[in-house]
Amino acid sequence: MLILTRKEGEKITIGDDIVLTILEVKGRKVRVGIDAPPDTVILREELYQRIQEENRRAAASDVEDMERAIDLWSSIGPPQEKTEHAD
Amino acid sequence: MQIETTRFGTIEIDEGKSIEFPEGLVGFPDARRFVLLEHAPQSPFHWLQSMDEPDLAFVVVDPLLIDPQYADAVPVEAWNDLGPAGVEPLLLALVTIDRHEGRVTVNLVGPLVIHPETRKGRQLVLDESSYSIQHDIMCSTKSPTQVLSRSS
Repeated sequence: MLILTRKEGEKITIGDDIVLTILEVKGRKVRVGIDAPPDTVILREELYQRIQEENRRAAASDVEDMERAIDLWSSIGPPQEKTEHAD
Repeated sequence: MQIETTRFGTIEIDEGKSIEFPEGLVGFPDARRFVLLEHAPQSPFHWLQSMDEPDLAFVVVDPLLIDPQYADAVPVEAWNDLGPAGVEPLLLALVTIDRHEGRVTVNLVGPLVIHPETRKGRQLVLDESSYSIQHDIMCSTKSPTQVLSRSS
């Protein structure tokens, strides 16, 4: 891990396209601004971990699981559909 | 073309219908090419099968069936680089089935957004949304008659 110390207003560049700005330091919290290309995924790390974990759980689905989902969905009843009544 | 799958063996698919995720999926950065497979007619659940990894497949569902307003939560800037403007995206949500508890949940925080013309997609993470990563399908929008008939 590269460790740097910055003050409010100072910046860090990552690669050619990403700039991190320390906007505000207040008590135990730091406000960070990030400039990056729009297709760069930037997330609070714990959220990324949760999505990754849920993706892994979802990837474990087998045919039996699919059948279970279909059965459960049928038991809920059909979604409300717009019905057009002939006049 | 033919692809190998662990769940269905060797299957024939239309390569023109493949979907490409240039960045992969969260936690699966190398899983780029997928194809949608129907499991049963009339079923809202489909398989999203990897064309490169036979064992990798997801159960997916249209999140608009869970919440008809869901598209409002998907910012166009997050995916409009995937193809020409002015089209509605194809949205898919990954489904998790918990065998032990029997719960079927849908990840409404990490939807897959696909451009219908280029068939390029990505998994978004809706950071500030009030949706759940594990939205139970039993909590879907239901009509009042359905709610009444289910209560004992």
